[in-house]
Amino acid sequence: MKNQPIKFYLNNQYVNYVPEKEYLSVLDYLRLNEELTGTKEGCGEGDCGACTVLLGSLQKTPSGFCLKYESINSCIRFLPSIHACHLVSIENLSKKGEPLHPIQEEMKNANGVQCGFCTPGIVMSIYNLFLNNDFTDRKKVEESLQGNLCRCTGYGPIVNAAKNVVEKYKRITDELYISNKKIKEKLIAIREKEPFPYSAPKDLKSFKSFIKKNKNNTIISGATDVGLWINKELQRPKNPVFINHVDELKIIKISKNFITVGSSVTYTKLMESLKPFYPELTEYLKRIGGEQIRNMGTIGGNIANASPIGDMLPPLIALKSEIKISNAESKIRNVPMEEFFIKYKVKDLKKNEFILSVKIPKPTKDLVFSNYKVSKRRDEDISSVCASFYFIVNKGHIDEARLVFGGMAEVPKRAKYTEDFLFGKPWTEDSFTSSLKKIEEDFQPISDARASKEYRILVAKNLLRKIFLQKSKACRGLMRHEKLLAGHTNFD
Amino acid sequence: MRNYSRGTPILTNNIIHDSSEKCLTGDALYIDDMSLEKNACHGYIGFSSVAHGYILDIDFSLAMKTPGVLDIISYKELPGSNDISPTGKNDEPILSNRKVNYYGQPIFLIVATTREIARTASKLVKIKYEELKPIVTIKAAKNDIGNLKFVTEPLRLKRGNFEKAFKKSPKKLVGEVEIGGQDHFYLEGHVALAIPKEGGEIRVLSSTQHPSEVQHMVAKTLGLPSSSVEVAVRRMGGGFGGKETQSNLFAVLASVAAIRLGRTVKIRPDRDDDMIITGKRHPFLAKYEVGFEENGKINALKATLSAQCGHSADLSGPITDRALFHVDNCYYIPDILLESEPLFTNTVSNTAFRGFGGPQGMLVGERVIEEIAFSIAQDPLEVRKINLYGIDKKNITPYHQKIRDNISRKIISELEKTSDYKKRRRQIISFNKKSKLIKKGISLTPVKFGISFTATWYNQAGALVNIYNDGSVSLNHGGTEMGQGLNTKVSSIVSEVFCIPFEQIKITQTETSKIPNTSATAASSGSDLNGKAAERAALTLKDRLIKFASKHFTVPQEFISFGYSGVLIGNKLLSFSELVSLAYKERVQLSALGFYKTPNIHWDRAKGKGEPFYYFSYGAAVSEVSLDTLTGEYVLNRTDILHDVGQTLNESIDIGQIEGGFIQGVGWLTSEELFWDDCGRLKTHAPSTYKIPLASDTPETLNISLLQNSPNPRPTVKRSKAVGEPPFMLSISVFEALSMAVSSVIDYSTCPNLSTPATPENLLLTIEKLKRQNDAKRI
Repeated sequence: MKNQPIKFYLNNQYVNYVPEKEYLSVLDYLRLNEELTGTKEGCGEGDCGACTVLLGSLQKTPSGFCLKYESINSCIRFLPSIHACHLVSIENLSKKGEPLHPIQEEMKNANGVQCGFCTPGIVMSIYNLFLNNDFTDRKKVEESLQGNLCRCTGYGPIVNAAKNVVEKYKRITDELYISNKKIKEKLIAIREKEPFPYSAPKDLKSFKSFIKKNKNNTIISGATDVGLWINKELQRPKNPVFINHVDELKIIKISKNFITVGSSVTYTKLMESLKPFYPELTEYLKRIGGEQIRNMGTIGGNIANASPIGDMLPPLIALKSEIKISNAESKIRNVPMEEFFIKYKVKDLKKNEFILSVKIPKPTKDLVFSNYKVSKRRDEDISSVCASFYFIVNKGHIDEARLVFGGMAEVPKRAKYTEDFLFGKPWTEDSFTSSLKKIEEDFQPISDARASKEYRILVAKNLLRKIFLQKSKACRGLMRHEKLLAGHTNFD
Repeated sequence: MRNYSRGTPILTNNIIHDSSEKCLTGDALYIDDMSLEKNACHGYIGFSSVAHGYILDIDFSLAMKTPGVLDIISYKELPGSNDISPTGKNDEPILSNRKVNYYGQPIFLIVATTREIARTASKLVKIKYEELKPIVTIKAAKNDIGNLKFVTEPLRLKRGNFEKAFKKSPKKLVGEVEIGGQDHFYLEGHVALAIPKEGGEIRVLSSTQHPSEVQHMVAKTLGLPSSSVEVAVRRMGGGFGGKETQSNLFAVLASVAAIRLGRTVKIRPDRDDDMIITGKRHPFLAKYEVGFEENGKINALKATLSAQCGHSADLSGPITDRALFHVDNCYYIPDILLESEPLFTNTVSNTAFRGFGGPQGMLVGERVIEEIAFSIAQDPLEVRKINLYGIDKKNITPYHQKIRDNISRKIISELEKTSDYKKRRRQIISFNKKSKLIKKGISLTPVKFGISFTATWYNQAGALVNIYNDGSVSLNHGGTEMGQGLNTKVSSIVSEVFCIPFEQIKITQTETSKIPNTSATAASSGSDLNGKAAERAALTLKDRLIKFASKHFTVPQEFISFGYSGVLIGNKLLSFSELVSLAYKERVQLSALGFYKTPNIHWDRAKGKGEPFYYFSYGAAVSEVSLDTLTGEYVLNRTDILHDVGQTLNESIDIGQIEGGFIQGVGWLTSEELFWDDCGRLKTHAPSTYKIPLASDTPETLNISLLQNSPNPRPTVKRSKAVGEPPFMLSISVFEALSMAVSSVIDYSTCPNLSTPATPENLLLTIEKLKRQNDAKRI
């Protein structure tokens, strides 16, 4: 059963390949099997972007499949997950002896190349920007390059090149745009007519039957964390099952009172779907990983990984989200998000269970909601402290307070003492100032490479001061500093 | 927004980096990209998991049994010497014999048929240690009072009488600054490929800035003459000093394995292991005493710069020397005493990194200026200006070199004007009065950086230029290409000598068999040295061609000239290739070597006197920042740079070096933090935990200008100046701007004792400390 071929398109070539091992990364496949060495390994953990490639995948819409290209880190992505996809590497951009692709041409003219090692990855990230945007500005370009490190140029020429590409060229003239329909048909043919690899089930039914057969399994979706177990700790977790193709786990449903998102919904998709309801979350979500990670990482993975610094967990807990869990026998249970995390990396999820979806309530009346992330580097960093504050303020009084912190305890955790203290208090600076000491009763954080415990406590308190000042407009007009407020909302 | 304003080009300027297209299409080959023969194998290094101790027992049995494992190499298997100390100190074993002195110290090499097998097997080796208490920090090393352990001889620079001048000064200050290290984070990690050749000879492809040293180390380890070892470097994916000596380990081990197995062996450590095993920029702790006048003019300065060198000397001697050479920066200090303390610690052996100790030394000098300015409530820029070196007097450095090319005052005043510094500073001070949470800061800091290797003998270079009988030219020189555009610069120098298109010149890879005894491509010297050597080789050939043409066409030499339309011989115009073809048939030698050594430099270390530098490079930057005083987060709003590259050899490449160097410096001073736990284990060994700047960390506005009409007074190649390192230190302006923003919370009453890197945490905790001190003062 295990050795069914993986079928996909690599650049303009059809590939039918049976991997010899369970965890062959897309990067190793390109470099070692295909000897396509334009894609580089810089870090092996999805942080430097040297391995960036584009992945075109079929996405189900009400009007049928569409083929969307997104950037991914090939070093932490494994081969079964790209079945029925179109993998595009740097070698596809210009053939030998032919003119350079506009992105390459602009990068060259802007002097965007020095040592050249990050260059192919940067070109692919600009490609992602180009294919998915009609307009751009400096901020958008910076966002699109959050997942790419360059140690030589200082980025100025690269940012200029990226802006030029989007401004001067039309994506409808690009080869991937023109060939979209044709390739889509080919991928649909693979999807509908060919058997799926055993470890990459085609739908929920076969996924369930996989975990029924393999009690000791490892569910992998974005692989943004599992990839590191493989590459860094050299673990080889048993019975991997790649759920990237299971459409039932990618649903986004908007009902009267709830937004329901499937566990395989990526950060990129989540950002789009939550924007109409919680626009304040957009800036916060943009600070999770880089573009590639947001295109890969999923909400279910973030929850199931149960890290104390999972960035989506505080907002979801604050918003009273509920997790829908299924087992192999389709037995369903619902768990309030805040009860899911038991202790450090221990969660309320059994071996034969998986997360189906997350149900997020729509905003209620009188809601004051704000999210913060504080890290050593603004973008593509792991939180020192992250926080989500949810208040119901009625007639100047706090009717409800849900203050959830990440990075402050072994699990993402509510500041219950502080919440109790603030409950019923007037929405005044005095209430907030006097509540701060309660933070120390709620949390005894640790010191590590990211932050000291002193800093964590201080920042946790200051973020509480900050939301008051922000929402009270006390600082109106003085805080027009866009980047300082990335992830902080509602400033003027 | 990015604005680049450029100097007046004198060469066929703005030639784009010669590898640019190849890198953009993925065609450019780095060592790990090269296809291997079928029986090639892979080595993986196993290293110490303790920072200090003795190895009691090593159990290789599980690794040995792993299918695919071909060989295990420990120190016992090394055929020649077990030492790769670059300075001959015999203090740096390739593989530890018994004692381990840092977490990450290599102990063995596993060789297997695939990298994955070798790497996995390396984790199966069990080592028992007797653990000893490690010395992890400078403070811990210094606590061993009276028993300071140095890895190399300290340096003392002295001019005048500090004690006397200090005593007489109306104002005095004592202070200290802690300066963090930095990982190079070259995007391409270390890699070496060793190919055994007939007769026991070996060819090594190494990602190194110093192929000759790799050659000598490999030879020494294998017990071969250097002539039996060939080392080649086509390009590196970044170096920054991290591949000056650190490549030796990988090249040497790959060579040992290749000879033992008679097969090609590649070693490429994982990023985390690379960061754990190899050296970084030295952290420093500096203590200083300064005596000055009421107006801020410095009379006397004493400073001790203690450096965390790690377990061996490596290049710590010249690095700590260079730190002392740059404490003065642009300032004349009449009575001065500077001392270095190159301290032993149980950490990785720190090494060269862009600036080579200079940035740390310069930061100490700039901190002294800031302290003085705060203590007399003055704009630090005014204190800077009052202390600048003079032109005809007050121009002797603490190492007794006369400065002949001082343009710091000119640069500062021009930048002050173009950046509107004064007005913006006033606006910022009034903004800070009104703004409760966001505080701003602005700072203008200058740079003066000494150019030349202080080890005088390194200031030499060779080049080989071959003209083939079809008129094409191949060029070889001793420098290495790591992205800085050296090959492009040197080729354009040669193309200009012959007046032929840049494309007609083939830049070949650096080969020890072509140019022997090369110096490291380091100390910003690449184009100064190799450019000059290549120019000389080309001029020799040109001279031969002219002489030949003169004789052949019986035209006096002065009527022969090379132009881009061809060679004009009297009134006859020949293309370059036509002339070459004729010359070949007349048996003119069409291959020439060029050699260059920097004149006029000397350095007597024991006396602390000499002329270690051929000239100085200058620049200045103004940076403006905004700081959130609730979290310590900040943004860089704007930086203006005015930098001196002499007559630019290639303006785009020079501006690229300035921008890239500046941002790398900003990383050093802000987000790049190395964290060792109490057991001496490095915890920041991957980009997930070690944060170099991203595009979104760069200033919102960055204006870079090259200083106009500023030929190097020294006869360097085309009157250019070195550009690799000096711009790195322009980043000090960002640090001092942050310092100003911090101090605004106590109305600038004290200079914040801010350590580097200025992470949000560091800034916020400093603010809190200042507030507490201020409150205590009021009570």
